[in-house]
Amino acid sequence: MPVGNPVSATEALARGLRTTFVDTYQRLLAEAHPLLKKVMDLGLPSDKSSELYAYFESSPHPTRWPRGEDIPADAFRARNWTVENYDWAKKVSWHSNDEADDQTKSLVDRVRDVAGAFQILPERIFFQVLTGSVDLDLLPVVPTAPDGAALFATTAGGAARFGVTGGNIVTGTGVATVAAVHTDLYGGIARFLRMQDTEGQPLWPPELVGRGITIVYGSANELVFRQAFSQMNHVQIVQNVAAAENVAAAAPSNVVLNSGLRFNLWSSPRILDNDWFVFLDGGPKKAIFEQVREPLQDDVEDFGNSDRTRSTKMKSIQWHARMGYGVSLPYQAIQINN
Amino acid sequence: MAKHPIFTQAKIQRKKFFVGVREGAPVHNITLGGISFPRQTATFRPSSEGSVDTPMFRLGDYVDLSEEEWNRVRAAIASRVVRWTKGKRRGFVYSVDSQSFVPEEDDEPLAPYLYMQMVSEGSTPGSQGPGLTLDDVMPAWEALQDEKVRITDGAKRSEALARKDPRDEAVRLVHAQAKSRGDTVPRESPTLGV
Repeated sequence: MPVGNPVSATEALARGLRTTFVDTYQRLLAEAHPLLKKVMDLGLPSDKSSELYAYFESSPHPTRWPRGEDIPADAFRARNWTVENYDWAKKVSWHSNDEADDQTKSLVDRVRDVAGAFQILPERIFFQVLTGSVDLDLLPVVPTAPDGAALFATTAGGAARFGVTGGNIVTGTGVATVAAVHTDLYGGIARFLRMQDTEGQPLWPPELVGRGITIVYGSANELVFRQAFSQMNHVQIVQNVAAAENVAAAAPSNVVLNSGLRFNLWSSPRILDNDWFVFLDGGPKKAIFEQVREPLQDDVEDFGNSDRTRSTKMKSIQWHARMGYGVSLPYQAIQINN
Repeated sequence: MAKHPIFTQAKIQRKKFFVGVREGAPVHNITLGGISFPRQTATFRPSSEGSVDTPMFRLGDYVDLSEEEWNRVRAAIASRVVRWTKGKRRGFVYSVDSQSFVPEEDDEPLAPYLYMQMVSEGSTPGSQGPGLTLDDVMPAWEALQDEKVRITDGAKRSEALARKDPRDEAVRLVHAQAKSRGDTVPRESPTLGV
């Protein structure tokens, strides 16, 4: 029986070839980005085909009790939502002759790089959810948040999301200048500070902002973000007297560097527009999370355990895991929309 | 007693829109001009048992937009193009304003993948209820009051978008390509009133 789609190793079988460049595509991105855990909860436990999660909304605040009247009473509600587990897998086959004849002696090592690719899976899904993208190799549907709205939305249930006009979307002023990035950054921070709980009281303690903020932006905007967050004195761009053109003016100190706040910068080529994202590191839960039903396993198929290998000389390794990805209440994430 | 003038600020007029992304779009949710275009949203109905609310999913979402906000949304829509890979298994939405954007031949305008319907007076999300489908609302399409243009053909719409918002040569290029091919945009129903 023919075996489909094996590794094509012919080019690596020529005798005498040098192995200098054999590591050209050795996987460099073999583990998740170090900042991923600041914006995504990873490895939450799961023991069913899908998990049902719930949370209570804010408990009520005390009110004045007029003399002679019944004590003021109030209640609060709960929300729940479901996150389904999916199978994630990849199998790679190769002919045992190719493994033996491979002059680079790296065929099986490259095959094993697939395990490293699994470490990147949460990051790929994080950006799928972040950008709302259709990718039929990943989640079939980008999940909504438990409040019924998308990850980023101005309203939820017909009301301003998190009690603040604009919800967790800030309309940006662009990424053309450092001043624009600074304006939108503080617009985002101010939005966090204006958020309300479900009882109409301030949601976040002000000091939460000081526990760290992670910024995720498109790699195309690397320069302006490095200037905005790292340059001691950035060049201010203003219009000339005739308001006819933009000219360089003073080089003021950097309001971000001088703020004393801690920022983590994550530049990603997976963001293809000028939107960028602000995450509070100190939020109790992350906006996007991963649940693990079955961790990564590998099955090696060789002469010792496979009739197929004995009859075809085809060997393989397959990796598989069962995991689900969901969105929790995204009150610690803001999109700067440009 | 001396009279003191009282200054009042005119209330911003807002209109309600039903917005979202269509089936087959490259995104399940996208933010444009500060407005989220979701594939679906949920409202919650109190459950008869306990205090857990039951989510009722429906297509799209309702937003209230001023004329200024609408113009911002329109400009954002006109600046987005779609690029598919892996035989439409994976969709990307690019902003032509991004420094890294370079037009390609198969790029499509994003607009036909969206819908944005002005909801008539007295018609509230609550009365329309969950389970609303695009077929339910398509007959109710109306042109925006200040833009008495309703374009149902995808290519003409792309051309109009480029004409109305000629900010970037790339926008015109992409829309011209869409027009020349004539087959890159869904034609079965109007999707965006501009």
